[in-house]
Amino acid sequence: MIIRLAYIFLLTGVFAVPELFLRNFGLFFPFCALFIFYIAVAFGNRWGFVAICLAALALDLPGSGSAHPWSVLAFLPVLFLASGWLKRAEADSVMMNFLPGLVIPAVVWILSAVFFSGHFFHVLIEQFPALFPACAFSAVWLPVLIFLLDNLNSRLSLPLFTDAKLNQKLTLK
Amino acid sequence: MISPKVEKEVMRSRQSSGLRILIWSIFSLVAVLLVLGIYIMVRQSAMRMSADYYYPFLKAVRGTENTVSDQILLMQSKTKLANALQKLMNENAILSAEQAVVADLKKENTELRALMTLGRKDTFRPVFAEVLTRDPMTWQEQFTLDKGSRDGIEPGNLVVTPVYSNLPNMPRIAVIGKVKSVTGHTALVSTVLSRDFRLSVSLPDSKASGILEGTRNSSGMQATLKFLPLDTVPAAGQTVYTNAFSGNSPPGLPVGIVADESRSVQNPRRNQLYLETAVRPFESPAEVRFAAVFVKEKK
Repeated sequence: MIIRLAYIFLLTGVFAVPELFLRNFGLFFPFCALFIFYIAVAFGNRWGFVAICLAALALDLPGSGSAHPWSVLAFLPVLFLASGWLKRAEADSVMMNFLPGLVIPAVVWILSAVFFSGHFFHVLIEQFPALFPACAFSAVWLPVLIFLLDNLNSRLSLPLFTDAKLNQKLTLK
Repeated sequence: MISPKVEKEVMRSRQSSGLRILIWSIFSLVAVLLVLGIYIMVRQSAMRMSADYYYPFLKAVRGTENTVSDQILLMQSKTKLANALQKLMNENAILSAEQAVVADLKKENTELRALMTLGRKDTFRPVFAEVLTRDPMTWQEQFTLDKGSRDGIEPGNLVVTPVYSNLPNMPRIAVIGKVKSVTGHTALVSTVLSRDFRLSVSLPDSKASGILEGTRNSSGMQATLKFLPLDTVPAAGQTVYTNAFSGNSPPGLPVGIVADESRSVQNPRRNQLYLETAVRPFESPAEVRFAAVFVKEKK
């Protein structure tokens, strides 16, 4: 348990730094949301929620400067998406994960605009063009992330994303 | 002994020779001027004629040179031409990048110079800071500065920024926001376009005061000045300044200008109780890189 917590804590920090860095340039690349998706599928929803809390603390307080970690609400749909993807999708190839990669930025972006911006429609109009590169990047990045983290997890004897479906079926039996 | 007749003759001959010299002088002068005029006319005509005469020959030489140059260029291989074009494009890109960097440095230099001129205002001292982080979702409404409570910054302190504009009669610095919260090393600033922003301001030209609220209207770059007395006439272009009513901000700092009346708020008379108008800040909060926070000195 402590190893998993330390793993999530450290990697949340690793993904939060480039996300915060890019946000400074007006770019929205949801590294943390994609990591949460990975954790929720590989480790389960409880660990996914831990990752959500840590990511929200890392992104909101120093980054957007909001008084409360509103990103928890923006990231929650990622948890549901991970559950749905694990239950419904019959994806044998890691490459098929480009689909949630396409969807996650849009979901997080819309909810972030709702919770953070004081002027929702202005932000929607101003930031909308930035959504397309974010979706395209995430579609490519999520399969790469799964490959990289699965390699790391196999060395650390932690659950793998690619085994999640099999583990779930075994648990149900 | 010369007879008077001879003497008379001599006198007449002397007079006629003087007159002759004068006539010759005038004639010579006229002749010189005439020759000079003719020379100038002939020279100009000759030059024009010569230039026109030689034009086809000179043009033919230049044309031949260009044709030969073009033919040599066409004789070169596509790869070589493409490489040359690529080289030129690279040089062009480098020059464009250098120009952008120079323009950026020029702006940064102007901003820093404007901040350097900033001194104490009554009991307020400026703390200079740089923008540390921003968030795309609150780009126009919030930013975080790299100075915090350790430098004496407190919530409510006024934040000013250099105004970079080529327009005349623009102030060198203007209010851009207020400190919303602080940590030891950082300060979160709500800009004049943020909903959290409220500031007591005055219109010296109209001798009226009101509250500036950061409610962005349809244009996206205007705040709303509320609670103005009904008899106020806020003309477009009037500068809005801070006042000393709140006690937390130095008075007399420019905040923005009253926006064009046609673009002002739709119903300026709220319940016949007060007047409101739109105010445009001098600098876009999205452009801010350097700022100064006016911190109140503790006694």
